[in-house]
Amino acid sequence: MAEGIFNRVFNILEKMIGVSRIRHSYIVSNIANLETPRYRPKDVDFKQTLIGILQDQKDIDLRRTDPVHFKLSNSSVPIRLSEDKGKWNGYNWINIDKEISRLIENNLNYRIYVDTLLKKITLIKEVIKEGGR
Amino acid sequence: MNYMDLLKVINSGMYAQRKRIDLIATNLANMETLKTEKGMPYRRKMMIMKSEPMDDFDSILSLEMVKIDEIVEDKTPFKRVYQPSHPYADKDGYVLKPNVDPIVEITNLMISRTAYEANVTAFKITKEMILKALEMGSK
Repeated sequence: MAEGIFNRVFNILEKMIGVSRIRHSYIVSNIANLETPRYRPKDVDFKQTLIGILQDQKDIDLRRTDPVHFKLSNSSVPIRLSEDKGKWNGYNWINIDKEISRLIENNLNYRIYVDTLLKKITLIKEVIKEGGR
Repeated sequence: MNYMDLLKVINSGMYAQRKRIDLIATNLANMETLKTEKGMPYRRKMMIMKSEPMDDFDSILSLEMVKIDEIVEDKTPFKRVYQPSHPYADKDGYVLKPNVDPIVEITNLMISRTAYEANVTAFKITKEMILKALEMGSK
């Protein structure tokens, strides 16, 4: 009955944490390039990426048939970048306030997802202990 | 792609900003330098940064690190100050002074400091996320 306990919510939360982490790396990369001339910031479209990952999920086990082949990585993760390219500020396309607020917003979202997952685990533990009796 | 690579990206940004602050300090210190090794007054130096994709074959993300591309000299003409009694004065009585403008330097300094602080914030948040992820294991 493991599938009953670890239901789809677990799976979705796991993917949400993953996408949130990917988005974080893009925002951090933008902040590092704050002073790079003609740099175009990148951002992940959270919703579209998550939908893509969830639809893309197939339980096919990939195997290498020869050790000299390239290593199998999860290169199939469909990252969809946001359409918003920012405004030209005379130097590059980055707006620092926007990037910092994105960073904070994404961090808060990440914490919400992790906390929700932790809450789920606590609930399951509670069930296993029959409500602490 | 792991968190340590991400810290590397932030680190590259902090390094570039710190070097730029070093350069601004050099410019400010040499604001009145009338003679350099080339025999001319000091020329203001500027830093050009460029982004460079991370060399990580495993990575699926196209993250870009910051790199110091080159240090160039400002081509603005030197300031001419009328000081006939100065030993370096030319035959018209003018002395060439470095093309360093303290206002420009201080403005750049403030921009660099803001950018550095932004990187520090990014670092802190990343650290927080790593610790949050570790919490999952502790329950």
